Formats: sequence, C-alpha cells, structure tokens
Amino acid sequence: MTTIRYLIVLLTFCACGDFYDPNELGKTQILGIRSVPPIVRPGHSAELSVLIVDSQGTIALTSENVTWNVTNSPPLIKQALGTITTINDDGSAVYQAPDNIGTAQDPSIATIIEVSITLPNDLTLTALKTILFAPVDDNENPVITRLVIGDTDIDMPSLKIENPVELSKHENTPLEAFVDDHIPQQIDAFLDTLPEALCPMKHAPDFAWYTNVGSIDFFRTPMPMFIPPDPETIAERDNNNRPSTQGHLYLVYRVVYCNLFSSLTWTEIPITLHE
Amino acid sequence: MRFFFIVLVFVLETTSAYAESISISGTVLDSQTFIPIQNATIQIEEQTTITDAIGHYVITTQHNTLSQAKDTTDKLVLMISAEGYLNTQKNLAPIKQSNIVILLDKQGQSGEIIEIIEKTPIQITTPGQTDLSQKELLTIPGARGDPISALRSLPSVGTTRSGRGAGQGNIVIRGSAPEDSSYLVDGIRIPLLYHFGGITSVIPSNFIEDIVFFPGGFGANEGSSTAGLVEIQTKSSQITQTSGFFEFSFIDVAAYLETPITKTLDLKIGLRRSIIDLILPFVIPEDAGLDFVVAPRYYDGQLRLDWRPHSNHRFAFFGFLSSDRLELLFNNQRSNDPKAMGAVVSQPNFQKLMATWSYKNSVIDNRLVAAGGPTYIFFELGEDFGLDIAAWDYTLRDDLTWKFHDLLSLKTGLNIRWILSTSSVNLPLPSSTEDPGNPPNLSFDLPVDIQDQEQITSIYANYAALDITPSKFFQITPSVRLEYYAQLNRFELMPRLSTKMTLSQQWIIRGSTGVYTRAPENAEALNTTLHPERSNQYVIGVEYNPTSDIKATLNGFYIDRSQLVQQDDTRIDISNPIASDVYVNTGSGHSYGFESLLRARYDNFFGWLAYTISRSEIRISDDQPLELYRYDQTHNLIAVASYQIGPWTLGGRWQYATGIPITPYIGSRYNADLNYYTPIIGDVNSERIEDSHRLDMRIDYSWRFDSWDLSAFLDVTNVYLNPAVLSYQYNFDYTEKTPITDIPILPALGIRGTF
Repeated sequence: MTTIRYLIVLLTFCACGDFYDPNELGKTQILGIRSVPPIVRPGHSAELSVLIVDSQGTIALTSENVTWNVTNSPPLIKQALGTITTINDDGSAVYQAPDNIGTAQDPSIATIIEVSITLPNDLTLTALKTILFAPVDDNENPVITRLVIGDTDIDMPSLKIENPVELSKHENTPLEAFVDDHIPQQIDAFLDTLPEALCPMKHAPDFAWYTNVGSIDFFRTPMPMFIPPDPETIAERDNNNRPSTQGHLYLVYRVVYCNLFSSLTWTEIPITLHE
Repeated sequence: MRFFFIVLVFVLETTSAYAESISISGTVLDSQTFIPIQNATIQIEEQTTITDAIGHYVITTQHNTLSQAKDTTDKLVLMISAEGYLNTQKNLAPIKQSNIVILLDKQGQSGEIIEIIEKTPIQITTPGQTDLSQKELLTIPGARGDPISALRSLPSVGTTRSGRGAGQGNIVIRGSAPEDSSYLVDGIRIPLLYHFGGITSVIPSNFIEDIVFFPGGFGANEGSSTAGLVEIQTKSSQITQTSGFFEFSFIDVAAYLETPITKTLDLKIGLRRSIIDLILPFVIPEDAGLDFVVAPRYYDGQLRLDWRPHSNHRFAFFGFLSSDRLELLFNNQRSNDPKAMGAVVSQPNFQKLMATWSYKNSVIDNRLVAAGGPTYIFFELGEDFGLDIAAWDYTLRDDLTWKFHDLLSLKTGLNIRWILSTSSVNLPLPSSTEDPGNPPNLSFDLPVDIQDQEQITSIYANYAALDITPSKFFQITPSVRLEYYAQLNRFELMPRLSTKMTLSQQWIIRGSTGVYTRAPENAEALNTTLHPERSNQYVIGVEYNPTSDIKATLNGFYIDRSQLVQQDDTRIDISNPIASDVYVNTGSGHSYGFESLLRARYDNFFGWLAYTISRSEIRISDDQPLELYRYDQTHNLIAVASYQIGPWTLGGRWQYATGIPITPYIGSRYNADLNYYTPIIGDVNSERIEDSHRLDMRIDYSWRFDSWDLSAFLDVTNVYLNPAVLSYQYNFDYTEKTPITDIPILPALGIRGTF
C-alpha cells in the first residue's frame, strides 16, 4: 500500500499544470517573516517583520491590515507561549517571550507566531513562524555579504539596494549569493544533543530567489539563472526608445534548523532590462 | 421459519421435470494425423448428426432436466462412430458447449481416445460470481485483448481513484479498498496483477483458461481477503499439435508456442515485451518538465510443462516472471518540495515457480500446489529517498474434494504461506488513510528510516466445506475457515454459508454470508499488535434465464467492515518515527448496494448491460462520524456489445461512472521558516471529482490460410476523447487547481499470426 500511494504521488508529479511558479511573483505572496533576534531568550522580546510582495513589488503594510497571534502546533510545539505586545504602524510587531518555558523534564522549546494579512481585495494570507527559546549570546540573523548578478558585483548588500542593476533582455543571467550564516555555537551544541531522528540535519542553507519580471530557473539554489521575459512582451521604452522594463529581484536566505525553525534575511534588488 | 423451509422444499420436489434445448459443437479428428474425419456419426440421446468435410459438427438435443445445467450429477452421453475407427462415447455436462474436439483412434490402435479442449464452464456458487468466455475475454473493447482488463466491464467493479497508476490494487470491488481483494493464479497469490497498474496484465491470455470473479461471498477455500477475489486459472488442456503465434501491437510484442513433447508431456512457452516505452518519449510534451530516462518498460515470460502419466494423475510445472521499470527525470524544482527533483525510479519485479499435482477419480479430486519466488519492489525519489523491499513468498496448499455420496461432498484443505522479507525505507509517511490532503513532503517531513529490516510473516489456514444437495432444487454449503496469523499471534475463525434454490428453469435464487479477515500488509504489518481487518458479508441474488441465451441477474449486498487499520498521525513519535507506531485498528464502515446484469450470448453476438448502485462509508474511529469512503461510487453503468459477421468482429463498450469522493482544500498556510505551503483541509471526502463517461471500440478481421491464420485488430480506448478526471493538481499555494486526467485516447493496433 505504501508503494501504491507513492506511485500516486508520482502520477501527480507527472501532471504539470499551467500555473504561476512562485518565483515569478505573479500574485501576492508572503516571502518571509524575520525575527530580530531569531532566537529569543526567555523573558526577552523580539521584533517581527514580514516581507510581502506582488507583481508590482513590495507591499507596504500598516497596523490596520496585519494581525499577529501566538499559537501552537502539536505534537512538537504544544503550547502558545508569550504575547504580542506591540503592533507598529508599518505592520511589524514586538513579541514578548515568557520568563518560564517549562521544566527540565518537559521543556517547551518553541512557540508559533501566526501573521494574517488582509489585502484590499479582502484576500487574507496567513503565514507561520516558529520562535525558538534559548539563552544564547551570539544570536543574529544571517547576512548576505555579496551578490554577483551577471557582470555586476555588489558587496555587503543591505535589505534594499538602491541602484538598479542592468540586465540584458535577451540573455539569461547567472545569479550568485555569498552569505554569513551566524550560526550560534551554543545552538549548535544544543542541537548535537538531539536524536538524529528528530534533527536529521542540524542546519541547512535555503536560498529562494524571486522576480516580478521574467523567471528564475532553480530558484531555490545558491546559483540560479535569471530568465528574462520574451522581449516581444515588453511594451515600455527607455529614453532611447528601446524596449525596456524595470522590476525587482528578491533573495530570501534562511538557515533552517532541524526542519523546524529558521533565522532569515532578505534583500531587494531593483533591475532594469534593456538591449 | 423452519416450517416454511420444509414446505418450500416439498413444493419444489414435486415440480415436474422440464426439457431444455442444448447445443454441442466441435470437431472430430484422427488421433494420429489430426486430419478431420468426414461423415463421423454423432449421437446424443435421440438426436444424430454427421460431421462435414472439415470434421465439424453441431448437434442439438432436448434434454430433460430437473436442475440447472451446471449440476454435475446430470450428464449427456455423446456417442461417436466413424467407419474404420473405434467407437467411443463421452459424458458431458448438459449445457451448451463448443469446440469439443474428439480424437478417434483407427481400429487396431490404442491410446487416449477423447479430450475435451474447452473445459466445462465454471459452476456459479455465489451471487454476483461471473465467468467470461474466452471469446468475451479477448474481444471486449477497451481491454486490448487483455483478459484480466476485461474485469473492469463487470458489475460491482468500480473505476479507481488513481486510474491505471496504482499497481496491483487497482480493482475496487463493491466499494472496498483495492488491497482488500485477492488476486490468485491457480490458487497462489501474486504480488502484481498488472504491468504499471493497468497497461496490461502480467499473465497473457494464452495461459489463461478461466478467470473467475467473485465480488464477495466466496467460500471457505479462500481467505486473506475481506472483499472480492479474482481467480486466474491457467490453461492445462492437452496439446495435440504444435501451434503458436507472433503478435505485434503499439503496446507490446508477444510470441507464444505450444507443442506436445510426448503423448503425455507438452510444453507452452510465451514471451512478451513492451514497445510503448519506445513511443512515449516522442509524445510527451517538452514543457511537461520531465524526461524519460527509461520510459515505462515491461516484459514477462512464462513456461509451462504438463505431464499426464496416468489418467488420474496430472503434474504441472509453471514458471513465470514479470519485470517493470520506469525512470523519470524531473527537471523542474517544485516550490513546496525542492528536494523532490531528479530521477524517479520505479521497478517492481517478481518471479514465481509453481508445481502442481492433481489426482482425480470419480470420488476424489485432490490438488496439491507448492509455489515460491521472490518479489522485488524498488522505488527511488532523487538521491536520498526511496524504498527497497525484497520478499520471498512460499505457499503450500492442498485442496481436496471428496464426493462420498450423491447428495454430499466434502471440500477441505490447508494453505500455508511464509513471506521472508527485507525492507529498507527512507521516505516520509504517506498522508493518513482518510486524510489524503497533505502529500508527503520530502524536503521537510521527518522520514521513516528503516535499514535492512528483516521480517517473517506466516499464515496458516485450514478449511472445510460440505456441499449438501438434498434435492436438485436446493443446495446449501456450510463452511468454516480457520486462519492463524503468526506475526500477530492471532487465530481467526470464519464461518460461511452459501445456498442456491432453483425455483424453475428460469429462476434461481442464491445467497451467501460469511466472515472474512485479512492481515495487515506492507508497512502496516510492522505493527504486530494489530488485529486483522474484518468484514461480514451478506449477499442475495436472483437469476432469471428467459432463454438459454439470455440471462439477467440482480444482487443485493451489504458489507460490514471492522478493525480497519487507520493511520493516526497524533501517535507519531517525533524522536522515533517508525511507521508501525501510527497504525491502529480503529476504523469501521460498511458498503451496500445493488448490482444488475442483463447478458446475451449468441453464436455471433455477445453483450451485456451492467449497472451498480452503491454507497460505501467509513468512520476512522468510534467517536468520529461516518464519512464517504474514498472508494465510494454511486452509479456505474457499463454496456458491452460485440457482433461477428464473417471475418469481421465489431464491438463497443460505453461506461458512465459517478466521480469518486475527494477532500477539498479550503485554503493554505505559509510556513515562513521552511518556505512552503500546507493546505487547509476541508471536510474529508465531502466533494467528488467529475462524473466520467467514455466509449471504447474494437474491430477485428481474420484471414485464414492453409496452415496459418492472420488476424488484425484496432482497439481504441476513449473514442470521443473524454478523459476521466483522476485527481487534481494544485498550484504552490493551493488556490488554483487543474485536473489530472486519464489518457485522452489510446489506440492499439495489433496483428497476430497463428500457425
């Protein structure tokens, strides 16, 4: 029976619908939730923000259309612990962890944060993020240190790069990212104590590239390929009356711990396609 | 109630006999040269005829009978004489029979005189049991000449959830799960019934003498099934001359040879290989995101020796093998499961060797079978995931029928089965049985990690059945089966009962009831604390035969299921996610409905209209409400017709079926840590996929030459391009869906040369 069910899954793989691929940003999507710091000390707080985009680019949020809740997800995360104390004007929030996260025999190691975003068309998107509790000293999100986009080399990119990167509308462009993972040593040591079945891979990098012009092959790898749209579909013109268009690349980078929670960063890169 | 029973029997006993018109046809040949004998005299009762120039005869007699034709106590005596040859005679069952080949020895010669090439038709013992003739099996449109595929045209057989993609278990019988039914070859279970779940069956037609289909209510001689039974009986008839064929179609190529080696020993050998794997790579769209490394490739082979050293003893050695392989390369990265890419390999293989000894005289009929062989299931997803199972399956069974009185016969037997298996699995658990919404995620779900786990599974069974025929109008068979499931350390006692009442020449009533169990299989078998799944079946049917060529049946059935194995995901131990821990016996449910069959058989026409209405429900535990079972199908209507005129045979098959239940997705949540979406599941099986209907057509043409025949066929599945929806595929956030459909049209053109 097990084999049969996997063959059914295989059948599902074989049938390819004509859907938007998520890297093409054809619809409104949440790309990530960032917690600063990513691991929360008991009794401390963390600032939470969400990156949401659509075909036009990043969507600015307000406190009016974002709700934050604390919830659980059994069997591993059994309780909703802590509270959301503040929701800022830009939709970001402050989470306050409880002082006590359980006994030594039955520790509650994490909780779940749920964010719901209501869009003008009454569509509601929901996303979940796991918050890990641990008393760690070195505790930062990863950092994207360098990007290579075709011939353009960008050192130390920030969350948002100001100057557009120029790409050919006729050629595929290789993309490459370099990162600093900032994996806390104390967390690393803690994960070593877990059974392998629970944590088959202590931490793994996860790249995810997106664009609202064209598409990206192997978008969940560190070295994907940007595929420009068909030039015939580009109606806009630049100052020299040549077909040209503008858009964005997004890179969301995570360090995923034990297939459970992640530390995360992102960057937004404006691009221009021309001859 | 007892009083009524006695009175009813009395009334039936006093009914007068009636006359029935019975037609017998065949050929008379010289036993040494096989030359047809012209002007041989054939006599049955008061009727006489002679053979024509090619030794062919047809004789019809009015036979007085008190019972239905298949009653074995009633015989016709066929007497044959020809100038220069020894006279002979043969007892035949008083039913319409064709292809009775008679071999006559010249005077002064000795040896075997007569052989029945086409055996007596199967005796119908339970309501809904169906037998199909060779001609019907081979020419049903849409089956491409595959006899086992023809089962899909019978009442009580539903269309399947996964179309032709579900391996052995793609026959849904009376709303039961496919794995609840058993598939037997000469009484021995086989691991796979079809190549790639339905392209064609693993046993080609040349080796099949009969396929007996029990949708339920079968006797105690078979077990380990809580639903239906498909019994494939291989061909054991004596070979009198060397013959064979070579066949080529767009699906496969096949060759077959049968030949006598000595007068008591003959050989059959067959080989078949797919060629669809050579065609598919050219018809898959380039944008489908997959490349065939090895397109669906299968082959099978069979070798059979039959030895008849004595008129009472027969020995048969039958070896067969089946090998499938499919290798795909998924180039597109799936957003919700980025590790699910790369090569996907599916490779189920098995081999089986069977040795049979049959002893038969007028009182005793005994059959001993020893069988064994390996089964290999290899499945790989990418570089890291897959399962690899090797199982050696040995069976020893003996079936004895002792007819110790005209009114009584005893059937008893034993069946011992050992399975020695080694399993390695590295896959996440499939979604739970009744919550199919969450597909297993290779990237993020915890995998079940089993390495080289050895397991011995054994089942010991004994049964006894007493056929009681107090009158020719009434037959009752109480029986009991005892099974011991060693790995569960549990005995199961299964009483069963079947009855048959012949009200008149036209009307027969049949009923059966019984208890049926089956042991957990595959991953479920790892949990040795489980109980066998169980069903209580109740079936009653009426049969109406207005003429000898037309038959109508109506059956009602109720199946009460309990101890169904369910997957309880809340029991997953995240620190030790072994599959066995999540299986529990909490499920229960039932199926009920009616099935009807109106069937006509003439010399140049056969056809039927089959309709089933049913409902199948399940509850995953006692505190949960009844839900539609995923195999529920309200309506299933099938019309089949085939007409032969000269060398042409034209047939059609049309089917309408209610869509099967599905569980809808009503939204999704984004996991921002792992970057994938999980669907929000709606009410389980609360919606259905679209109803389906399709037309299959087949045309055959035959040429006859001096020493060989040539035939060609065109069999087109889904003539008017209306592919059935099998399931749905969803976009990355489960807000859009598109149907996954069956093959839009499948034309199969074939040609066969027979010598």
